[in-house]
Amino acid sequence: MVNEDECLKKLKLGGKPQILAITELFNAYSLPFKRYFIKHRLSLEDAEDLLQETFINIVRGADNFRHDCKARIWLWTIAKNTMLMRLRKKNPDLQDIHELADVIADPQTQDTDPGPGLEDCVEDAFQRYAQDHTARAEALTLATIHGWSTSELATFLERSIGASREYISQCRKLFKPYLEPCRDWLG
Amino acid sequence: MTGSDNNKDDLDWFSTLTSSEPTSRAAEDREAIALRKAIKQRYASELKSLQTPDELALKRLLQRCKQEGLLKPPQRFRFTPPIISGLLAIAAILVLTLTILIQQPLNKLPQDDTVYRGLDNSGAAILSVPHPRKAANALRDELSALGVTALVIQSDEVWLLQAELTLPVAERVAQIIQQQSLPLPADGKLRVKYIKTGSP
Repeated sequence: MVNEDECLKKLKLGGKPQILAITELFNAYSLPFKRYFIKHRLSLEDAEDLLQETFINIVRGADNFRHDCKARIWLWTIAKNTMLMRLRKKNPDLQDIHELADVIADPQTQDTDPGPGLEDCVEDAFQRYAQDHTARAEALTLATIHGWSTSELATFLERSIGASREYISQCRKLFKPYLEPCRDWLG
Repeated sequence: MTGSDNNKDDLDWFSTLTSSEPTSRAAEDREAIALRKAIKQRYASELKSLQTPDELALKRLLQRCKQEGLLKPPQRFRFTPPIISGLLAIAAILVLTLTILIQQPLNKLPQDDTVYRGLDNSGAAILSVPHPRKAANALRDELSALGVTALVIQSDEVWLLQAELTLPVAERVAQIIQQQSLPLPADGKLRVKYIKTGSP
């Protein structure tokens, strides 16, 4: 497993340690970043281009890392902001990735097969939720996969802890209607 | 259930979702546990379906780093006697001061109607631009992409950008700030007020 803090220190050192750090970070993060960009409806070509841009920004910005958050969260924030910059070039009025993804949906009217068990049903519900609320589903996915705390999520979202708690509540509230077909299992 | 109960319930749900340890509330958290499992399965299969960026992509990245001068020479630690360090520091300050003095009259006003107006009482630089919101957001984005946290606050028709820069200010960050004809803040606290051209 890559040690992000060590890598960011090596990036500042220059020479072989810097190249080694770029290689380590690239090997560890290129796939998750690429997936993240594609989930935000960027083409494969755009995602690959953005991947290079993100790593360039990481190398450029390493000297600015102040250790006031975890290095891995900082890396994800750079990826998110690099993507946001690209999306704003296409749509200058875009303020937040949530504007891009959230749609008004009526999850209860969709013809959904609840599947053979609770897990299948929840998986299907989350898939539909992710289609309608991409940015929220992605934030929940990253937090789940990387075990982020509320404050780490707040750093990634660049919101206060209070606003992030509200964000979590909203994510859950928006997810509930998608779980309707699973009610028989959830009781 | 009160609002704060709801909020606690939501935070417990999030905690179950993100925690790798089984919680004591496992029985009540069937939904969160099932969701955690679904997210993990979905994530794993999505990663599997993507092709790992190859050696060539890494080579291209390193090549671009080189072209953009981002690959630094290795740091060498050498002992320099204090008196020589002091003399070098004085010489560097003199060179810097002279450079600034010589360049001063050559400073051009930035293009696209931007006019640097000076500082207000709080020490914030003021920029008069045709589209203040866009200009403030653009600078915030550029700084954010380099890992500098910048905040844009709107009050009436004024957009205030605030950022705390790490000292010494990184070369690329300094370039971005100077491209806007903004002075580099000595204390690292960047404050820029954007107002619409023609506003009083």
